[in-house]
Amino acid sequence: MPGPNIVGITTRVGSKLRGVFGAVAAVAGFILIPWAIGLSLGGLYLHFAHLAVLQNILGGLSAAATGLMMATGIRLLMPHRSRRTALLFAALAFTGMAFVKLPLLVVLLGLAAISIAVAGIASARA
Amino acid sequence: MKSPSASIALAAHLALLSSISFGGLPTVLPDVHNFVTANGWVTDREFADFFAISQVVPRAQHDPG
Repeated sequence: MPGPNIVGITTRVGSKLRGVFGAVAAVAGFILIPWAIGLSLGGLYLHFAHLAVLQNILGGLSAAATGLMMATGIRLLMPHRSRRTALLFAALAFTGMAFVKLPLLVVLLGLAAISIAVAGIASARA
Repeated sequence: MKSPSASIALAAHLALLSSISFGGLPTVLPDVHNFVTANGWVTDREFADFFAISQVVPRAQHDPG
């Protein structure tokens, strides 16, 4: 489903309890504190971006966070490792985004259409 | 990122991405990176720093990732 789901659920719970004001209150309660912390940290970063200590901390953090994301991707791919077409489409999506730098919409619509067609042909043959 | 049209272009692009957001943050992230670096608004290093900060901050907006 498109859109931020958790915020959608929060809106619905809030509006069920107290109508429009309930929805606004629920969403505000849900996102205001993370926003405030995020914006403050962002502001601090813009002030102190030149400090070597901060550069090193953020460099380490982004490397670790990237590693976690890569691990998630590999874990999602593992169940499909025996299916050659699945690996091919995964490789095409990765190449399109990471190296060719195509827009997400192009990669998504292009590969989704082609992979559904390929799966359809494969199941029609079987 | 100085002119108002740049802000509007960024907002429009992010609105489009958030309405397709297939796969959540990890899928959208490379596209946002390509968009803002190609426009010369943010360097690679700054984007990595922003990503690090956003990962440290408690979040409610995104479910996975």
